[in-house]
Amino acid sequence: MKHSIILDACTIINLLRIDGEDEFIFKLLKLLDLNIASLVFEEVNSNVKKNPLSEEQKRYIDQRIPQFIPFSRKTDNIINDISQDFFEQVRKFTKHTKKDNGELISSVLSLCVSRENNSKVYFYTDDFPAKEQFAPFFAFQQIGVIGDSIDLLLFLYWSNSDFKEKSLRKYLQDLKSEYNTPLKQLVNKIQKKKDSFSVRDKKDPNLNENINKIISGYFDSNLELMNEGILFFTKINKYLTLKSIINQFPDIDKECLLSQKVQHALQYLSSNRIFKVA
Amino acid sequence: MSTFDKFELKTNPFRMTPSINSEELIWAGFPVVKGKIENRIKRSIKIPNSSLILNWGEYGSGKTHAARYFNKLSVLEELAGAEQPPFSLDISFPKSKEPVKDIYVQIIDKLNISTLREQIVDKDVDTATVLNLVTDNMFIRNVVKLMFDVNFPVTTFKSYLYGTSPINNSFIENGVQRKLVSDNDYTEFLSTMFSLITYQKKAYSCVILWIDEFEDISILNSINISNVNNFIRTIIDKTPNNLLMFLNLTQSAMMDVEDLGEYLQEAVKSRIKDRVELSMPTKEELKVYLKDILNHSLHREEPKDSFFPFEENVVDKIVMDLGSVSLRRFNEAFSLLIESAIFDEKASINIDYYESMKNEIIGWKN
Repeated sequence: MKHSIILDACTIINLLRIDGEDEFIFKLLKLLDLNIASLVFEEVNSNVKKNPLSEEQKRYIDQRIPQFIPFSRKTDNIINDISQDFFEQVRKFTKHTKKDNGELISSVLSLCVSRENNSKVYFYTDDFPAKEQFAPFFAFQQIGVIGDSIDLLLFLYWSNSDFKEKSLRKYLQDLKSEYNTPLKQLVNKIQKKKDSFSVRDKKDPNLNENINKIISGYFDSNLELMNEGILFFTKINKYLTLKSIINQFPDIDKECLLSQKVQHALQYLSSNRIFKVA
Repeated sequence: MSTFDKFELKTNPFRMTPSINSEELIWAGFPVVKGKIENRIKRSIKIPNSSLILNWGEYGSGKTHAARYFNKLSVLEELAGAEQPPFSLDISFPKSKEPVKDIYVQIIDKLNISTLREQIVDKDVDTATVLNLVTDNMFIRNVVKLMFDVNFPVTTFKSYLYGTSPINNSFIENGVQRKLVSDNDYTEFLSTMFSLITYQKKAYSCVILWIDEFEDISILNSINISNVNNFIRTIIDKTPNNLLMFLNLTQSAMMDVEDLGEYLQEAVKSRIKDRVELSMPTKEELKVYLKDILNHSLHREEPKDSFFPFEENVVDKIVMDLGSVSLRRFNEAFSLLIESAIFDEKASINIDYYESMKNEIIGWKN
């Protein structure tokens, strides 16, 4: 039996941005038992415009998205399925105070699908804060598993006989490139800023400690450390120029964590193999 | 009067980024690394074979500085001695989605066509004859021929190289019917031009191409990794003589020098002739460097045989406290100490002053 899969906007974009003209990933995705909330489509459409994608990538994604429509479910229907009342409970349980977003509706969709099929489901999102936010809800309701693009890629690899290991490495390298390019651009900008520090700046321990977390975090491949430095500057208003540099890279915190994960996957693959039936 | 007069210095000698102004680029200390690079350049000045050299070291070990320093005309002229000096270019690893075009554009940005033309005329290089010998691509031959045609306007030709000039009759009459469009075009153009200007080492003894931040190959996508590999392989194949390429590689947890192998094709790996390691400085190396840089004529009118304004035990203590770190990290510490000491109106930097500042100097050491 095919298990049900729920996709979030960033995962759709991240997988399609590395897909080639042969539509290999796109075709594999379409074979899955997909479920996508209509709000997620809206998010894909607006995020494709905002993301730093090449024109070619934008065109590719724009052309493929309509073909996912058969798998979509209207947001209102999803909420009605569990009742408005229970939906409010979900919001409360997950401490969701923002307006409804793709992650919230996808989580509810996951709940619906699991109950309809009487089985656990897989929800894929690359939004790490959302993953943390909804994990307790998934655990308590026993909905299923939350994964990300890299998990889904590894799953697609072992579950498809014509998915070769060489291609898997290629896709992982391409994902790494997508995540790491903005990280490197950020590090270069931060370094440049650091080089122009005044004596007063150089004597500011908080400033230096966090700048060094970003730079050495990047070079030591400790992207969690890098992320700590980034969060420091985004959370406080004292260092506005640094904050504005970081704000030029809106998804940088997620990219840090995904980059780390893709790197680990590539490292594992260099000395281990994922078992698959030939 | 400069702020640093009190320390008998013209300026703060510890720069955080290599200077763009070549007058201010100096080499201090590290005679072994310097000697290795010099030897490589001298060999290429004298010997025809093209080669690929890997310079590697941790972040902040001085690779970019080395690239800038060895791009100085005065340095190259001295290395060349009686021979023609090399034609040297220093670019950063491409970060765009079209890396080969990016390399090409960076090189074009730095080309001074008038100077190249003068040198070719001056040294009596017969462009047409040489071009027939160095490439069988008729179109590229015509492009390079036009580049060295003294009657053809330099600005129009440069605009052609950028792909911004329309192909009008003045191009078509010279056999240049189309623009340069593909990676293959860019590579062929560069290698043919390199081969022409170094032909028999008449105009230039060799071409030196430094590519800085080569570790960024690890963040390219797979197609571009292979495009960059093809570029390096092709440019060396098609410029079999007189091309010396330095690849600067920052070693990090993300990219060890051994990992580079994963990103380079066999054909490129086999062309790497030598590796120059810029390692973390030892205490002795650092002291030689420090004395050198403080007393260089660029920084001090009358050189001293000391570390002034630093007292020697301060230097020893800093090395002990910081441990094995990059030269950049030491520079940061020395720079901050000097600037603070000026601010606090100290006559010199002794151990007491260093101890009082220590937290600020090394406090943020990871």
